[in-house]
Order: sequence, then structure tokens, then C-alpha cells
Amino acid sequence: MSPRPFGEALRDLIEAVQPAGIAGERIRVTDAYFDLPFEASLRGVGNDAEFLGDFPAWRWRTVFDRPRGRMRVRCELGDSL
Amino acid sequence: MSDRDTGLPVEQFIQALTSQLDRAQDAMALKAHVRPLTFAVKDLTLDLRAHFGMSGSVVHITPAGPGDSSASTLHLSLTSITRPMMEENTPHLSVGTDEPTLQEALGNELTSDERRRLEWAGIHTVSQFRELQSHSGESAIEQVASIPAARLKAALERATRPFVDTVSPFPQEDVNAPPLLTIRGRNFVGGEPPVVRIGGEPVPVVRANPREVLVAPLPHQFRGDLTIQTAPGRIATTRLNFAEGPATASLETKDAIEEKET
Repeated sequence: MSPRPFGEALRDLIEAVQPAGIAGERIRVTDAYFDLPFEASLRGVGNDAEFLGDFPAWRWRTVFDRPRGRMRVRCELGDSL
Repeated sequence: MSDRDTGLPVEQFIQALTSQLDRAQDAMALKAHVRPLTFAVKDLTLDLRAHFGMSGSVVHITPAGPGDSSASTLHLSLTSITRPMMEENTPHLSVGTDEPTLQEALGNELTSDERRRLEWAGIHTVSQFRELQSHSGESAIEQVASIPAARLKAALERATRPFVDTVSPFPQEDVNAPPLLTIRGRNFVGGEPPVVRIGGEPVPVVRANPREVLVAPLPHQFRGDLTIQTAPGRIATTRLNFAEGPATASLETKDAIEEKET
């Protein structure tokens, strides 16, 4: 599986902890902290580079996998910008 | 598209990373229109396995590949910047509403890569370029954008030359009033009012500002080469060709503006 652009992986991760459906109407997660293994690479897009970063697809590593890094992200309810 | 096995300057890598963060934040902000309270990234820490190398004075980063056990670890911590923090710490660079972009003003003087690096430094227009140059000097911009100071100087010199966009008859209520022409473009005012000539003869200038010059040509001066000179060597030339006088407004301007070098 090809790694996704980092922004997509980050967005999906953060949205995953938002309660959906009826739960979403009644409760809110106010903050979340993730500490996850992470695989990064770069892809050329025209003259630019796109930063690809995704979570490992498999728990067990193979020789074809890139060395894993680590990502820690803290999110809060509200606006940052 | 291919993997960047040769790596990337660290500045560009950071730019690629922040651009991805912006995309994630934008997607979440979009959702905030539907759901008023949404998550925002406050802090992000990445430990990246990568190789580092030097190319001249530029540090390159290459993400580690499969089976690569000797890679270094880059520890990056990012925190979100709030709007008040940004306003407090960013010098205000003014932007005119009808200002030409860097591409329009500089043409091919700088490459698209160089223009992009200037934009990363917050320089989107020539006035921002000049403002930052007067505050910080060319060497500071040179460092940020990796563009030699001499090339920056040449680019700014080009950006200060007069440039004609259009020439059109000036509408007047009195049909018996002598016809006037409006010349629109940029950089029309230097140290002194511009000197306008048509067919080599001087034309009276009624009024002039940096974006527009109003001239009063004589009846035989509605055809021929129009030149505007703002300083020695700073001349823009275009061709006028009113078929039957200015009232017909059938003006043909030459696509290419000839700019004479000093």
C-alpha cells in the first residue's frame, strides 16, 4: 500500500476520535494525544516535493518496509489559527 | 512521480511538511462550518529516520529507505501559531490592491523556483520585495531565498522600469475639447514626471501617477511609436495606430513592449 500525503493521514487520525452519530451530538472529546509509529518518504510533484507520511500498514515488519519513525501529536478542541 | 532518493534541501522539506499540516488544518476547518467545535493540532513531534548530506552550503535530507539501518534521526517539534502571535511577530508588508505579481513584474528575470522561494519568504509583490530589501538588505533575502544578491538587484531594477499595458482615449463630455489619451501601466513616475513622445516628438503630459499618465497629443500624434521615459535608460515603447483619429478608439498596441537597456 502506497503511503498517503501526510496531511491526509493526520486528518484521518484526528477525525477518528471524534464521536459520530448520536454520540457526536451529546459528547465531545476535548483533547487527544497520539504517540504512534510512522513511516515517511518524499515524492516529486512537478518541481515540488510532497511529504508522504503514514502509519505502518502491518504490525510485523518486512525487509521492504522503511525504518519507522515516531509521531506524537496533541490536539485540542478549538481553533489553532 | 518518483521517490526523491536524492533528497531535498531541509528548508524545502520543512515547507513540504508545513504544507501538509496546512492541508490537514484546512480540511478540519472546513468541517467546522458544519460542526462549530472541531479539533485543531496544537503540537506535533516527529522522529524521522533520514540521511543528511551537504551540497555546497545546502543541507539535504533524504528519508531512510527499506533495510537502511544506519540512518540518522531527525527530531522535529512543531507548535501551532495563533493569529495574535503571528500578527505580533510578523512585520507588516503592505500590498496594493492592483499591484502586479512577481511574475508580471519580473518576467523571466527570476526562475519559477526562485520566485517560489521569495513567496515562501512572504514576498508576493514588488512593493513587498522593496520593503523587505530596505528593512533587511539584499543579503538577508539572499540567505532566505538562496538567490544571489546581484540577481536580486537586477530583478529589482527590471521591476522599476516603466511598462505600458494599454493606451485608450480619455472620455470627455465636451466634444470640442482637444482629445486626450490615457496610458495605463506601471512605474510611470520616477524622480521627475515622465517624458512622453509619439513619433519622436514630445507630447504634453496633463497629469501622471505611477499607474496612469494622461497626455494631450496633437492631431497628427495618434499614430507611431509612443515612448515613456522615467529616467535615463528607463523607457517603455509601444505602437499607436488610431485608424481614424482617437474618437474611433481603434487602437492597436504592439504585444511586445520594447524595453531599452541603459
